[in-house]
Amino acid sequence: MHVAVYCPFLASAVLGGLAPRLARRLPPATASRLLAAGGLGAALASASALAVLAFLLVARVPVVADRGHWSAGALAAASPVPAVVAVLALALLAVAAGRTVRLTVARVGAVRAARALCRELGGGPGRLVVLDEDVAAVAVPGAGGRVLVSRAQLAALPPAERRALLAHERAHLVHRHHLYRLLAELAAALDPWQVRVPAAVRFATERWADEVAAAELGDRAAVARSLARSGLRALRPVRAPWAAVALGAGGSRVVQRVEALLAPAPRQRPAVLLAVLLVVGLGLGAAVHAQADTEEVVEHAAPSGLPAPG
Amino acid sequence: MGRGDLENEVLAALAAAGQPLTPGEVQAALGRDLAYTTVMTTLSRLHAKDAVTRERSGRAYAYAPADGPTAAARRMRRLLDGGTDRTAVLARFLDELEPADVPVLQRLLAEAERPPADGR
Repeated sequence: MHVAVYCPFLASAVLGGLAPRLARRLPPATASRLLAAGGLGAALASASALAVLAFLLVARVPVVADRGHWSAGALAAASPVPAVVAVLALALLAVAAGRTVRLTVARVGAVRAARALCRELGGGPGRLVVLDEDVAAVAVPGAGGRVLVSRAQLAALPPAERRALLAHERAHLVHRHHLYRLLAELAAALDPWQVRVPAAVRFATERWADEVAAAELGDRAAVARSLARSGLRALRPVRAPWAAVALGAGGSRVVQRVEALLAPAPRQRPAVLLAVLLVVGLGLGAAVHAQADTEEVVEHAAPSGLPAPG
Repeated sequence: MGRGDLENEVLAALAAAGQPLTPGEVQAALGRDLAYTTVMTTLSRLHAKDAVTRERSGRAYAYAPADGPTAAARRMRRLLDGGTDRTAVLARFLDELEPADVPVLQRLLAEAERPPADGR
C-alpha cells in the first residue's frame, strides 16, 4: 500500500511525458487509440489513488468514523499516509472534479450545437457544404457530420489535392475523431499529468486523416501538396513585418504533417505499444491494490478488529 | 471509397468552377479516370437530392451547386468564433500555422511537386 498507492501517478507521468513522441512515432491510428484509451485509464487510476489517499484523511474525522463504525484513532495509527499528503490529495481531487464537470458541461453543449448545425445544414451524412466566406476547412461531427470548405479554397486546389482535402475531412467523420479528442480532454481534466495528451491526440488524429486520404488517393505526395498549398494560402494574410524575424521556423504541426507524408508511412512498433500498455496496466493494477488495502486497514480499525487505542 | 465521397468530389468541382458545368466538363474537372456514366449518375443523384440545380445547355444539362444554406453557414461562423471550447469538437484541416512556416512549406511543396521518379 505504501508504494502501490503512488504507482498510478508514476504511470500517468510516463504516459503524459511520452505522449507527444508517441503521437509522432507510432502509426497515427494506433497512437490515437493508445493515447485516448491509455490516457483515460491512467487518469482514472490516478484519480482512484487520490481518492484512497483523501479517504484516509476524511475517515479520521470523528463524525465520519462514527458513521462508518470504525475507530478514528485506530485508523490514524494504522494509516501509513502522512496527513499532508492526504490533504494535498483531497485538494487535487476537488480540482479534478471541478475541471471534469466544467469540461463535460462545455463539451455536451458543443456537441449539441454541432448536431443542431448539421441538421440545419441538411444534405445528409458527410455532405460537403460550400461556404462563401473564406475560412479553414472543418469537419463538424453530429448527425452523420458535415464537411465545410470555402469556395475559394476549393478553387485554389488542383483536382487531386481537392480530393485529398475532402478525403481528409471525411476520415475525421468516418473514424469519429472527435470522440478520441474528447476522451483525451477528459483524461487531462482528471489528471494534471495528462496535460499534453489532448494536443498529442489532436495531432495523431490529423495525421490519421492524412494517412486515410493518402491511402484513398494512392498518392502520399498529393496529400502533402494539398496540405502545404492550403497552409501557404492561409498564411498569406499574416505577412507582418515581424514575420521575417520570427523564430522556430518549421516547428508547426502542419510542417510536421507534410514531412510525415513525404516520408514512408510509419511502421507499427509492437514493443513500444506493449511497453506503454504495460505501464498503464501496472498503474491500474496498483490503484486496485491500494483500494483493497485500504478496505483492509479500515476493517482492522473497526472496534471488532484490533483493539482501538482511543 | 463510398458513394458520398464521389458526390462531394463532384460538388467541390462544381463549386470550384464558379459556373455551370456539363457532365463532360465535370468529368474533366475531376482530373481522374472516371467513366462518363459514373459522373452522369452522380450528378443525377445530386440533382434528386436538390444539392445541384441544372439548366439546358445545348443538348446536355449544365449543373451548378444549389444555393447553400447561408443562414446555417453564418451560424457556423459563430460556432467557430465561439472560442476553443467550441472548436475542440470541430476537426480542422489546418492548425497552428506560423509565418515562419512559409519558407519551409514552400520548400516542401516544391519537393512534393517533383515527379516520383526523382527519388523517394
